[in-house]
Amino acid sequence: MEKIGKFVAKYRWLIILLFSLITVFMIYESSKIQIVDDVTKYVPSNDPEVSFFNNVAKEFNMDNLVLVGLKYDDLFNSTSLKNLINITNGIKKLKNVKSVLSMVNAPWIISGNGSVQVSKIENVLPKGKGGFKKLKNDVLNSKIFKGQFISPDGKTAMVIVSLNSKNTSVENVQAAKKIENYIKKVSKAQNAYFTGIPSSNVVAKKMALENFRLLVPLALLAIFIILLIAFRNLWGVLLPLLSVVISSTWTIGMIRLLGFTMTLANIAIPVIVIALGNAYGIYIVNKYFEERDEDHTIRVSHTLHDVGVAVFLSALTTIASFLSLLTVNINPIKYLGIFTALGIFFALLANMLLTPAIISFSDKHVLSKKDESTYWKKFGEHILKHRVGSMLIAFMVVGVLVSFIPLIRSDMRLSTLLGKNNELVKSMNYFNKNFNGNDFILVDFHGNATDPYLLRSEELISMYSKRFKDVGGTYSLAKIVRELDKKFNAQPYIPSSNDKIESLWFLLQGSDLSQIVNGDATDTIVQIRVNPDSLKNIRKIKKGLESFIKNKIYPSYSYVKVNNFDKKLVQNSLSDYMSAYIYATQAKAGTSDIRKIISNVVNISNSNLLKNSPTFVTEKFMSSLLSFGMLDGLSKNTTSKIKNTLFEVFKKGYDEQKLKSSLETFMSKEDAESIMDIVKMQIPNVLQTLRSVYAESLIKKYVKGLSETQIRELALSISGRTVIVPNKNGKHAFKVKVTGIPIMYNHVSNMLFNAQYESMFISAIVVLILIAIQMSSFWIGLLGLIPVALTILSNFGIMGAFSIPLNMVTISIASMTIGVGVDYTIQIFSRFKVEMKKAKSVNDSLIESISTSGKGLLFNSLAASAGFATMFFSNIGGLREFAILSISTMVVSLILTLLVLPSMLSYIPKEYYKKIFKEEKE
Amino acid sequence: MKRFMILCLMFSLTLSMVSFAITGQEVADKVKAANSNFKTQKAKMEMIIYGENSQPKDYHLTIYIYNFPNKDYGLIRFTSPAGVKGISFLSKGEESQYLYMPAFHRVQRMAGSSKESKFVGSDFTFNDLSLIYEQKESGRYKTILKSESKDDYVLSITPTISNPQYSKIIMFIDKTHLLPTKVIFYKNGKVCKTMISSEFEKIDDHWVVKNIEMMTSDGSSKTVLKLSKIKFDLSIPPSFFSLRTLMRPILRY
Repeated sequence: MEKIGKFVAKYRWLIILLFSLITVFMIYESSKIQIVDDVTKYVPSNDPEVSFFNNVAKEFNMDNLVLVGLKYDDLFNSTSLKNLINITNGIKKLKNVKSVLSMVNAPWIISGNGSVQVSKIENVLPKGKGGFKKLKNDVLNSKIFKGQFISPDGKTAMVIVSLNSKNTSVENVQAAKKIENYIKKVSKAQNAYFTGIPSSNVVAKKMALENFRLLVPLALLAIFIILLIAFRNLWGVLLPLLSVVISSTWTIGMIRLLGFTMTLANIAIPVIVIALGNAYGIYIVNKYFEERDEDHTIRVSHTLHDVGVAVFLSALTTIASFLSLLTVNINPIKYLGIFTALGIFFALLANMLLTPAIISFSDKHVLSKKDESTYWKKFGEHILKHRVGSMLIAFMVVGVLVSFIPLIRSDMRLSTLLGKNNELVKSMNYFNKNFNGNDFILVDFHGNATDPYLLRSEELISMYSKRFKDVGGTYSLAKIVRELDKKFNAQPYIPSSNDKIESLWFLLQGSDLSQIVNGDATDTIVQIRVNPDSLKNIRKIKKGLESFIKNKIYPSYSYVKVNNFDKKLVQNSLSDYMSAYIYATQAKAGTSDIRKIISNVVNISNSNLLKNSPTFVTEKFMSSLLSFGMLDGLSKNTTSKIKNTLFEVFKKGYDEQKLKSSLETFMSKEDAESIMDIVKMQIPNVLQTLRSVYAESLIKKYVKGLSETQIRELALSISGRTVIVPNKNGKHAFKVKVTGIPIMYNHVSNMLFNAQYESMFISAIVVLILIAIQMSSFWIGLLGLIPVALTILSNFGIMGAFSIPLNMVTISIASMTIGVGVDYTIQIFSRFKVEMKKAKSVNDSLIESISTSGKGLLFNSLAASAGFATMFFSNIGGLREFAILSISTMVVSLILTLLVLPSMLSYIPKEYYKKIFKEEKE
Repeated sequence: MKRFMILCLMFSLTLSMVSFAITGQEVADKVKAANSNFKTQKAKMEMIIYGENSQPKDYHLTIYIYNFPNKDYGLIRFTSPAGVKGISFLSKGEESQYLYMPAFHRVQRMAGSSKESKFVGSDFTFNDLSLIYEQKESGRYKTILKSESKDDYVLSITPTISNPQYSKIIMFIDKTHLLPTKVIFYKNGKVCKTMISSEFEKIDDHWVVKNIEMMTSDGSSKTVLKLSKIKFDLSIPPSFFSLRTLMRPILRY
């Protein structure tokens, strides 16, 4: 250390010049730093959960979503809807935007006047008040649109913007900003709300800059005031501050130079560096002023000789504690650890080189005040006199706080980090309130997206998810197929026939379904809109969905025809489906009732079905004949005869030959044949309808809690003559997995909890080794860790008591506590060792250690606390919580160190100290 | 004109516009005269749709046309792949368009407003198809001869109706075959898609295009139409173009 001192004194101009040049360069680099916060980038991309989410999100353009809520006074008029069309189409043209989906360009299935079409509202904009009123009614009655593209009150339209998946995070922020600006320019909506990761990043960047501009000067000012009160010496105030300004600037510059961006959590780095790093400067400056020699080289070398090791050790323990965060496999936390450690290293460097280099120009001397050390001496005597009491008080207070530890929860969500009064969180809450969710859980189906059973499973999962209170709407291909079948065939269900699905799929060609099915229809997702406020509820939803998938959905299966397959297996499979449907919809039915319904529906013969409802059957065939134009140009009399003939034949039992010959009695052979063609073709349709009507009557009788629509859907589903049966070797199979941003937050939060212990353990080991080396005793080192351990426990208790979650900012507290808290121990040990070597008694040495170090420790604690306290002025909730915890760390660890450490050390016999210090000397 | 429509669905749109334009009438007349001298047609085509993030989709279809003096009937039937086999589209005028799906044994009338929807996800719209049968185009488009070179005419076609599908069309007509070689479609003043035709062949004394490519301006998709077979003036009666024909699994002609 002495050599370093001499070197500094000799090259002081060069050191000042080098630091100045590097600082100017780093200021330039810092000015270009980018701030990005993206949960999908928190965990390394090779993490299986993250990798799966990234693939799904990329496939369906869900990775870079910007959700825009546009609240209109009256959405359903020409001006508002045209404005929405302009916005939808206008955003599409913005750079880095991949697709835009809103109620005006989503597939809009309309039927009426005997026609059906899959179109878009932008293509069928109505005219006149009546038209808009009808459209509003239709949209709000659409299960696909309500809650997905429009709020249930019909006032807010949701625009879902997907940004290019190849965009960098910075490009996403730029694109989100452009979208916001574009909407502000052209929107005629009363209010616009934005959410989604890119939008969050726009706010994150703005907030980070605001916080940075506010907190750094405030922290410097707070520390300035404390130091001025403590030392009443301008050099002693300015130099420690200069060192931390330089070190925090270098840190930000290095983040940028190494190609990293900052997250909201990482904006705490400069404040931490300022709050913790200034202590090193204080020790150096004060020691320098205590030196009596006139020669600056001697003063500097003596200063570094006396306090250099302690400063170095203090910095090293702090660096080690922050580096222990490397064990947390969550990127922002890793970066927080690395760059705070780097910042502390820069602070150490600045205080070992620059601070002595500058102060060497001063020839001032300052003497310590006697009355202050007397006060600390009395305090030391008091502690040792009541050592049992001191320790008891400490342990009891910690014990009370420990009881709150079980209440700690981990929560990595941006909304929690930002706090409820934040602009972005308010926007998220708007979506939660109006759409019952601002985020999505995605259920990915990997398999043939047009497979009937896959689609039915999608529908089951959608229905099942609705039992959770945090689930809003769902959007899926199944929902669209079902809606289309309802409009096209008046059958609101997903048919079990592949041909029928293919036909419906054909109608959907050309519609933008890119957010729910991939281009090759090999992957499809159910988007479940959720309110992600409660991680506990998200966990519950995920668990529920996974259990439902495991227990209610066949992973591989076959399609069989009812008439050509084992009846028992067919009935079992249909019962399984019906049970799953009833379970998903939370209806009630006994197992035996379900079996009874299925058995009746499967076994009722075609002839009985036709014979039992001749009027219904006749109406159905007449309707078909009309739709095929077979009744065009026929007289009323002939039409009536056809109707009567159909009725009579079906009443007696359908016979093809009999019907044909009956028809030929009043019409030409050719016309009769044409009618027979239609009848033969339509028989399967009519039979299915009859069977489903029969099934409906049974379901109504035995099942409780289903709506009319659900009864109809279930009845149709169990009436088809193609049945899905489980088959381990079946050629049909698909894989289902649950993912989504809220799931990622949960995943990361879980990782956080586990990683916390690992990082704390490593931090503690490193610190133990360092103290053990300092004190030449493992056991003394272990004793030194006790106040730190008690501080950690107190901090966790405070987190539990004040509902402060474990997140990417607060996780650093425990490790920081070890690194920073141990500084007080190091200072006391350092002094204690010196005093013991003077052959004093243990108690005298301890009292002397307290009296000489007390003031330094107190003001170190106060200065750092003042620095951290400035975070209370932040509008980021997480930073305010960090302030509480870091201040408690500084204060509690000091109190515990003073109460517990001397008391414990006083129990160790003098001989032991003599032995270890003697060994060291030798 | 009608023969050309059968060969290339999209061409029919552009030609019908040309045919009834006021400006550029001489060019339009020439094209019309060279392409409408038949009564019925049957063509087999392959339609390949290339998407940005998907495998190409390959459809085979057969198209029947009946050419009345003031009215056209058309019937399109998909023959492959299996999932769409038998799906048929019948048009007997703007308000009489029907879709038949064999899986449901059901015929459904198509609403007029869905005409701007993409046809089977291709880069052609139903409107493009329906215009095959449009006869009353007069006054709806203004066609001017933009330029003329040794090999082709360049026509600029602008609609005079409100809310047109395209705001402008630039068409290059090859003087030798009197068929468009390139058509550029504009929407809101910007190019939205471009069609290029190639492989001209004379069949039964009619020049036909055997390959047409329609590309979107952003390069996100492309549709290729390949003509494999064409016959003119078959003895197809008008009654063939009926709802009953739609439901027949095998068509007679």
